[in-house]
Amino acid sequence: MKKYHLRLKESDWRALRGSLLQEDCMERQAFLEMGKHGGEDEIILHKIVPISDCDYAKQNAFFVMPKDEAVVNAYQLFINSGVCIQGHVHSHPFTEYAHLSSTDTTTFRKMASSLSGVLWASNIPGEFLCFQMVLGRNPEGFEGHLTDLKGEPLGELSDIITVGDKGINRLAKEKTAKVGSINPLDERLNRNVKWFGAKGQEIIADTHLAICGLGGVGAIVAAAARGLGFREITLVDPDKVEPSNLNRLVGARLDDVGAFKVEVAGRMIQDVMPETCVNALPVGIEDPRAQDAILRSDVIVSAVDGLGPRAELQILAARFLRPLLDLGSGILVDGSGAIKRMGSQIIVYIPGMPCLRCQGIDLFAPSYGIAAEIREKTGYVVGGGIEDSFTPTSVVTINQVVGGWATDLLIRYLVGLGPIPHYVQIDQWKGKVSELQFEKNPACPICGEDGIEGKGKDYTPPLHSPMAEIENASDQQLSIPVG
Amino acid sequence: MRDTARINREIMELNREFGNDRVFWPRSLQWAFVKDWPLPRGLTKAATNVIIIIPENYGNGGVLRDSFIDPDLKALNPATDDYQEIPHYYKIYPYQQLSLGTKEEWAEKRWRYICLHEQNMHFSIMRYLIHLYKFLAEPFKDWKGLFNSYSGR
Repeated sequence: MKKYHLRLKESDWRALRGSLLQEDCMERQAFLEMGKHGGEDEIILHKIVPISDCDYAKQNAFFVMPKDEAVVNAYQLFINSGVCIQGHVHSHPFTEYAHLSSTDTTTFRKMASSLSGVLWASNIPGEFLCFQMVLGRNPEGFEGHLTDLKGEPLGELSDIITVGDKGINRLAKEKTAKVGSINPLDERLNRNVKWFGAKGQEIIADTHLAICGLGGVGAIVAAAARGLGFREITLVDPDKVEPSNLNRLVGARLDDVGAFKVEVAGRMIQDVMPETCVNALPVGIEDPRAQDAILRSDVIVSAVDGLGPRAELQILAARFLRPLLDLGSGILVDGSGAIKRMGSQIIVYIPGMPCLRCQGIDLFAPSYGIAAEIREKTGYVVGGGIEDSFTPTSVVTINQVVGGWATDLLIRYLVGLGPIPHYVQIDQWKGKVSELQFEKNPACPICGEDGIEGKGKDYTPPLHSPMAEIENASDQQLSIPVG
Repeated sequence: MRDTARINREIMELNREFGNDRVFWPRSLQWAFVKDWPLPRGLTKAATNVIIIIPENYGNGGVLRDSFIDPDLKALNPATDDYQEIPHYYKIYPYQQLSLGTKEEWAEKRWRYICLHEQNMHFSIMRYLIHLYKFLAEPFKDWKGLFNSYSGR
């Protein structure tokens, strides 16, 4: 049977176990709203819908059944949630390692069938699935299945991945290294092991890193990552090397002018570590090939220009519960050419913690798309020009500092030397480094209570419009002619 | 990345309110159109066509902020008792022929851009229309509390 893993926020995992496995040893259950990954065999937890003790029709140490009202409420919340998997989890507090019983399976099939009826009656388009899981007292004592709406198993839960402030943790019955892993005892990794230990090296050797943006900063991260022994590195950038890049683009040679930056970075990595699987994708973030590869990764580094790609990466990171390190840098020069400020910042998004928007990045300013086109054509100007805005950095020393610092945070996070600061501001002009702390906005559309974390892929097909669309018309673009 | 599930739900809400024959949208879900959308009193017309632009990241944090309505609308200014241009029409960009990817007759017209920006990213297309209605009912009032607007060009 196909194996699936469940990815969820560390805080949700703690909440789930805390609510279902209480000291009174009574069985309890909860509903789950879950998303599905596009290509990977992964399901993602969006939200827990708890059932309070007063909402059980029957409950004892070996059996639990919610009242009909609680079930209907959970169905309604699921329909309004926009996710495609409804989950059902209960506890077996009487055992360390829990197994789904025939009673569990029969009850679940009835619930899946009734959900199917509710979805049909609600006329909601989409491909919906169900998920059933039971938890034992041991964190690795779980069992679960992904099923269709008849309760027929489509796959088996093999492991649970929790993403939190202190790293990414995998709970599995059978720990297996992924194919292509680099031997942590390899001599080339010797100095890494002396830095973060053999266990840390094993984690890195089983990690897929995505670096988006291979300009001056991204190339530094790629250079630092090349000898760390990652299992897989995805590189995403549509740009080619220009002569003016050569002052700072690590790994680029004179004859690389005209080559894609991802090719240069990929070559640099494989020159040192040919075992590392490199996906060099000369496309933008919005390209489905890039998104597929990014979402197979364990952690994302964003070194892209502009708010549009940063917003897209934040959305992907939130919907699919991937940690994201966003790197920004700049230099402010006044009209006379005098340097006013120069520096960088590293903003870390860990699912469950404040997102980039809550940490001060105005991600959804209309910098691209139709809204940006309207802005441009109406003459609306973002920012005020050189006097009060940072220019993209092309200063090699800024790149080196922020790229190196970010890689250090990345490693510390992955190998469990965290928690790491979420906002590091490096004032390179004054030689000061500050760590800032931000609160999560409960109303945030990304990381707030009704945010998008864990929603996964949007499987919903667009409703069919009664509008007669022109064949092959580029309805992907609302064209606004200049007039 | 737009949230298709959310946009579908909101289009179904528009359909229920205005009828299937008056609501249109493209496969790309970049905009939603309502034909003969009723207007409040005090304007030179009883209804207008309206297009609400659905931004790139709508449902994932993007906020509704741009719409287009008939270009010839004017509003009665109670202070001067005459019909005047509506504020927040974009005067430099008044009459545009949008290429909407359809041959529907309503698409073959000029539009006027109106810039009223929601502040809350959870507000729906229907909520935007309600706010637009409120604005057009009293277009000369200070609406800063409800909308963000372009300012200081």
